[in-house]
Amino acid sequence: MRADKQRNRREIFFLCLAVVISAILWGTPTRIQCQEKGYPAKAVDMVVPFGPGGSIDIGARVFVGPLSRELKVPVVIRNYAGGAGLTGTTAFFNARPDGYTILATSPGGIIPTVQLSKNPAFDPRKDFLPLGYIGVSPIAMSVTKNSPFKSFDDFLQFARKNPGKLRGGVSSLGGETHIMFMSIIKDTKIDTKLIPYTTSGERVAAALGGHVDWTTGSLVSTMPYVTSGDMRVLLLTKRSPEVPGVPAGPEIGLPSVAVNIWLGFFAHAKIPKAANDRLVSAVKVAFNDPKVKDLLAKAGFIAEYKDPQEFSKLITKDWEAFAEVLEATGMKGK
Amino acid sequence: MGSFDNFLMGLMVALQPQNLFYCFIGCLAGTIVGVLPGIGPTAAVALLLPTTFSLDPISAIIMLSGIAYGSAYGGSTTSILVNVPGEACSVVTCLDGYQMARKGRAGPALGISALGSFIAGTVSVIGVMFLAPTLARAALAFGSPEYFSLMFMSMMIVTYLVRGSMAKALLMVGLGLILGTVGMDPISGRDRFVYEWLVLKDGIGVISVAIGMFGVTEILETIGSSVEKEVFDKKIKGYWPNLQDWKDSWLPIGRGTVLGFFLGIFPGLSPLIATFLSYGIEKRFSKHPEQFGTGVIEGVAAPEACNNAAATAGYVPLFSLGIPSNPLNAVLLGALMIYGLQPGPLLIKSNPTFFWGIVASMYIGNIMLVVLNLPLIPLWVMVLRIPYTLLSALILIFCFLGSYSINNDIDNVMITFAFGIFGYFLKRYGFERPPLILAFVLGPLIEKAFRQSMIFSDGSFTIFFTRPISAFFILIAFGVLITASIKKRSFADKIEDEK
Repeated sequence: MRADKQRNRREIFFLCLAVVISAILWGTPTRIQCQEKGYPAKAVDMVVPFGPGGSIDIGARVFVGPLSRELKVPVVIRNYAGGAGLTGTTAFFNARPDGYTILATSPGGIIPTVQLSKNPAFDPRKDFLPLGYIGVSPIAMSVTKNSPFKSFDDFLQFARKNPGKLRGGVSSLGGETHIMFMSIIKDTKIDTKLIPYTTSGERVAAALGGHVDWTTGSLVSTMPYVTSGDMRVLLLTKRSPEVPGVPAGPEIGLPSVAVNIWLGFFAHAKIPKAANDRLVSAVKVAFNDPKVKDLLAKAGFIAEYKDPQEFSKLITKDWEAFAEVLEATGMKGK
Repeated sequence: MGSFDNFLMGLMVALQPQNLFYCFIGCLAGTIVGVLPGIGPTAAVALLLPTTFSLDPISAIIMLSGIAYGSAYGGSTTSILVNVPGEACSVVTCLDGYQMARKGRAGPALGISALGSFIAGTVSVIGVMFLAPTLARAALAFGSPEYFSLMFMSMMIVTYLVRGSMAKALLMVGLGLILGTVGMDPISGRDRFVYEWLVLKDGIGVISVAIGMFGVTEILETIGSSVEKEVFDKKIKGYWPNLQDWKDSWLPIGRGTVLGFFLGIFPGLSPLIATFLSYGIEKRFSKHPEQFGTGVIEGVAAPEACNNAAATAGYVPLFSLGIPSNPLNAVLLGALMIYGLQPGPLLIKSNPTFFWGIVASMYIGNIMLVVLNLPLIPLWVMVLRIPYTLLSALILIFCFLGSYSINNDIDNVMITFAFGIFGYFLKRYGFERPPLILAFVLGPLIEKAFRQSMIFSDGSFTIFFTRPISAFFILIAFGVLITASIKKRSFADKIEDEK
C-alpha cells in the first residue's frame, strides 16, 4: 500500500513537472508572441468622413497598403459621407476605443463641423489623439483668363475702389476654402459679394462661365484650368512649386490667409497607450514608403510629416482661425 | 471628319481583348447593381475603385463607366416589377411601368425600357463624340438666373403629371417644397429643421422618400385588403413589345433622348428632373393623356430613354471640362486623378486615345447590355408568379436593404418607413405622390438658384427678364401655364368619362 502511495506520489510529481515544463516550453514563446501581437490582432478600420473619390479619400487610400504592410493586418477604408464630415467623425467617436478604428481627415471634417454644432458630442482637441500629419494641399484664389486682374494687387485695388461690385464664388460653406475667402476679406477689409455653391464643380462652372469674378478652391481642383490657360492663380495659402511666383498670404501682409487643407490620422483619446504608440510609429513608417510621396502628389498633396506634438499645435492654431472666421460669417447661429 | 478618324482609333483601343473583357465585367456588374436595390452605382464604383489601381487607366475607366451606364439599364427593373425604384432616376418609371406589370405586361415594359435605353444610350454617345467640347462650353453660359428659369419652366410643364384634383396636387407640391428645405441652408450654411438629428443635416434623402412612398406604401395598401385580391394579372400578355407598342413608343423615345441629352449636359441639374419633364411632355403631346398612370407604354419608354441619355450626357462636362454633374461622376473624376490623368479642359487634347477609347467602349457596352438584358426579361417576369403573400415580404426586405445601404445606418430606414406610412394615407385620400417627389427634388435646386440670383442682382427680380436665355424660359413657363388652364377643363372631363 505504502509503495503504491509512494509511486502514486512520484507519478503526480512527475506529471506536475511535465506540465510545468511543457507550460514553460510552450507558454513562454506564446506569451512573448502575445505581447508582441497584442495590438493589432485584427483588421483596422480607417474612417473617412467623406464620400469616396474626393482628395481626402484618395489621400487616405494611399496609406492603406503601406499601413497594412507595417501593421501586418488589413486596413479597411470606411466612407461615411454626410454632414460635411460630422457623420463620419461621430461614427468614429462612437466606435469602441480599442485602437481598431482610426480616422483620416482634413481640418474641415473635424473643426468647423464641431464648432457649428449646438451641442457637440466631442472636442477633437481633447477627444482625438493625433497620430501623424502626412500631407498638405494649398488653397488658391483664382480668376479666369479674361479677368483684368493680373496680380492680387490689381484685384485689391479694384475691390477697394468698387465696394460691393465683385462677385466671389465659394463651394462648401464652413470648409477650408470658405475660410480662405473670409480671411482675405478680413485681412484686406474689402467689400465683395459671396455666392455660395454646393459643389466644387458648380463653382468652377460658374467661374469659367464668367458668372463670378473670383473664387477660392483647392489648388488641386484649380490646377487643370491653370494648365489649360482658363484660370490664373493670384494668391495661395502656402507656396507651391506648381504655380511658381504666386505668393502665399502671410508674405504679402495677410497673416490669416494661411489655413491649408491637410491630411492627418487620428485615434480615439481613450485607446490603450500601446496601441497608440504602435499606430504613431506605423504612420511614420508608412509615410516613408517610397511610393507614398508620388501617390500623395497625384491626389494633390505635398507630402510632409508632422509628429503628434507638432500636429497637435497646428490643430489648436487652426481651431482658433476657424472659430474667428465662423464667428464673423454669422454661420454660428444662436 | 477628324472626329470619325479619332473614333476609329478609339474603336481599336476598345476592341483590344483586355478592354473588351473589362467592358463586359463592368456591364455585368452594373446590371447586377442596378437590379439589386441594396447597392447603388456610386457605392459600387467606389468599392471597385481600389481594385482597379493596378490596371491600365483606359481599362479601368472602361470598366467603371460600364458599371455606371449598366446600372442605369438595370435600375428600372425593380421599378416595373415591384414598384421599388432601384435608384432615384427610376421613380418616374414606377408610374406606368408598375401598372403595366399589374396588367400582365411586365415583359413589354421591361423590353421597351431596355431597348429604349439602348437607343438613347447609343444616340447620346454620338452626341458626346461630336458635340462634347462645344456643348460643354455653351452650357457654361447658364448662370444661376438661367438655372432658376429653366427649373421654373420644368415645374410648370410637370403640372401635366396631375391626374385628379389640381388643388390637391398643388398641396403636394407645396409639401414637397417644404420637405426640401430640411437640411443645411445652401446660402447661409445654417441648419434648418435638423433638430440635432445627424441624418437630417444633408436633408431628407430622395431615395428614402421614393422607396417609402412607392415600395412601402404599396405593401401597406395590400395589408388592409382581402387575401384573395390578385395584385398581378396572372395571365402574361407577351414577353416583348409588339408592333403597336413600338408605334406608340418610337416618338417618345426620340423626344426623351434629345431632352435627356441636352439637360444632362448641365452640371447643376438632377437627371431626375429630366425624366419627370419627359414624362410631362409625353402626357402633353399624347392623344390620350387621361390614360397616363394606368400603364401606358409611352410613360415607360420616354423617361427610360431620357434617363439613359442624361447619364451618358453627364460625360460631356466630365471629360471636356473636368466638372462632374453627379456623385457618380465625382468618383470617376477622382479615379482619373489616381491614374495620373489630369481631368480638365485639356484631357481630350492631351489623351485622345483615352477619350476616344472610352467613347468607343460605350458603344460596345451598350450592345453588350442589350444582349445581357433581353434574355433576362422572361426570367424577371417569372418573379411575378411568386404568390403575392411571399412576394410582398420580399419587397419589404428590399425596401429595408435599399434604404439601409444609402449610408449604412438605420436612420434612413426609419425615414423610409415614415414616408411609407405617410404615402399610404396620401394614397388613401386621393393625394398624388409624384408632384410631391418632384417638388421635393426641385425645391432645394430652385431655392439655391433663386437666392444666388438675388445676390447677383442685389435683390431685384428683373434679372430673370433682362437676361435673354432666362427670359425665354420664363416666357415658355407662362405660356404653358395659360394653355394648361384652358385645356384643363376638357382634360378633367375626359378623366370623369373614364371613371
